[in-house]
Amino acid sequence: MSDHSSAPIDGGPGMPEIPSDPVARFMKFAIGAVIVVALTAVLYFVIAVVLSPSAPRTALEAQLVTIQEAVRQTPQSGLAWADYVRTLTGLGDYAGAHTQLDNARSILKGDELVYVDIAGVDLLLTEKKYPEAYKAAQKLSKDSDTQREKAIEAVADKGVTMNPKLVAPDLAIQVRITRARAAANVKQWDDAIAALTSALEFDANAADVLYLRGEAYFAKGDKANAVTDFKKALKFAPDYEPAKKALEKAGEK
Amino acid sequence: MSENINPQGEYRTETVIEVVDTSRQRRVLSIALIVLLILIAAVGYYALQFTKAPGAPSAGDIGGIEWVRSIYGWGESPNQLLGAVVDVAVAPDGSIWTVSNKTTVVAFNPDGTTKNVFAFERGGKEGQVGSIEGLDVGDDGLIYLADFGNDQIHVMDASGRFVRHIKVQRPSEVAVRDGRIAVAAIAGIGVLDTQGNLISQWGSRGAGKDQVDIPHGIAWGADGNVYVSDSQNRRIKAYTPEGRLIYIQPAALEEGTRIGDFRETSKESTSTLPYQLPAGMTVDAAGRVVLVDPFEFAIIAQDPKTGNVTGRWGEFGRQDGMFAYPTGISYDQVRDYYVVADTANNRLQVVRLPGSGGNVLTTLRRNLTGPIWICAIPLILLLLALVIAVIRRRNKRRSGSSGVDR
Repeated sequence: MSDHSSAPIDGGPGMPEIPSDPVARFMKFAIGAVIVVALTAVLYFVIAVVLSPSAPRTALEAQLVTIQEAVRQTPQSGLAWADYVRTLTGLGDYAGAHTQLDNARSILKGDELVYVDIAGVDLLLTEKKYPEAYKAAQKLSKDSDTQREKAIEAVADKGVTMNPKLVAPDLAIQVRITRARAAANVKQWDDAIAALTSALEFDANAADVLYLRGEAYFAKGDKANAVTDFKKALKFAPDYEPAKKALEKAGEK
Repeated sequence: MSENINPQGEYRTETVIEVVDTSRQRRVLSIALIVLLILIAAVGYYALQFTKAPGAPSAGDIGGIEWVRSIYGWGESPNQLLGAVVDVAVAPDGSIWTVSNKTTVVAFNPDGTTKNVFAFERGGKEGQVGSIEGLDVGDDGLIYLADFGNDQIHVMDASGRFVRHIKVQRPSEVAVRDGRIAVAAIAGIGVLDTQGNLISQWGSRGAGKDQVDIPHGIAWGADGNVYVSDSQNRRIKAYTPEGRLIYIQPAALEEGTRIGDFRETSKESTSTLPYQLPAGMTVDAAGRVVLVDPFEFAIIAQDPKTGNVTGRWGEFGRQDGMFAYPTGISYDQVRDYYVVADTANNRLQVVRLPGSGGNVLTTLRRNLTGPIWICAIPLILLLLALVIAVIRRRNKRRSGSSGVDR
């Protein structure tokens, strides 16, 4: 058998000629055709997708174009940079978001930098880098408090005593919520509750903050305090759906 | 088979070699084809993932609308993005025509890539435009631009050259079919031939039964009738091509309730009205009149015979698949999709809706568009090879058994 198998298929001198198999011939043709079609498709892809000028395809990509322009025109705006980082995060371009974070940090200072740092924590949370996000959130709280103290001192130097709760309260609440979210992801419930309680000092009627604190209490196993917070949240925002659902989850109506 | 017997009597051995080699060759080739197929499918899948637009919604997220794509512009810089797109038209070749900022006519290929951009200067001189409010593409491929600002319909060829101008007072929308142009103007409706000769004309400005007030949508029905969005009167009207009124929907608004009359209308009656501001309209393969309502942020389908609303899709939002004050719509029968001028979102959206009436061929073509066709072709070839192999084996068996019989 081995002697025969080494003989040429098409026959040699004195060997009968074996007709080539038409099915095999067709299959060879099919393979050739598939390769040609695939190469054509690759060529089309290169020309149509890679080489042709690209325009935004989705709302996020269109937003990116607008935000890039906003950053170009107002590079000193922390909010613009934060939006830029968030949009890149939404697009899944985490490397680009980190690069822009670094760029923003080299330009911005003061409160403007706080906005960007909040976006930085959000980025780490999206990347599921929870311990890093928690560490960044702790640093963010510290830096933000330092900024607030400086702002109060600056006003005090002018002879005015200012109520600390009136110094950029929205930003303060945002920083505390960010810290609470980061803490919750590493199951540091006490820290999350403390951050949200601190946020409520700026706005005791914030239904979303009350709801978040209720969730933290619930996760910690403190159902009584959780229900109290959910009910309080619904008192201020009666149609607040997450609080309604959370209350149902806690077995209360 | 008998011709394979040589004088040395090696018939049986050679036949065995032939059969073994043939089956081995086929096996190797089949494996090669299958491996190639899998490889191409894998590469196609990753190419699809690579080109997939981030943040694209699924039908479940947007109330049953199947989002196909959004078109935001013809380049990456802010001045190459669409702005305030008031209307859209699908040409017979599938290209999508629209107007950006009322002066720039832009054409896109069906896959969303740019075909042409014609930026006109604003003005009243030759080669300039005033304010383009509506457009349509004729069967002849010419583009008809309703220039509200210059009281003209500009007829343009695909290279951007004006072929002719037709004088019409304050035209807001045009619909071209079978060599006839239906024009919705601020104070009435007209039907012209493509040279601009008036065939019929009716209506005046007002809220009466025979009047219209700034109609923003007009379409030729599959039945040859003319459908009009009487926008400011918040109603839809159906006419014969000669201008005989067939119906007004809703019938309660035969004497129109204008936008400014909101305060005078009872709360109950306004909430039950099907439209707040009917605008651009088109007719799909099922014959439905499909229109957009910018204040409802919705696409509305209605029965052309009765005018009754049969479907409503859409909600307000910036995400793809949602709308912000849409004012124009057009239907591509070949690809079975609607293109919506999503005005306040500064984009065109290509969407599919249930009940559009596309046939089997359309469905097949739709499913074979995109990278999937790369996988389909080798699959068809493999299938063919298998069929041929089965037929040949059967023939061989038959001829073999007949030889034994002999």
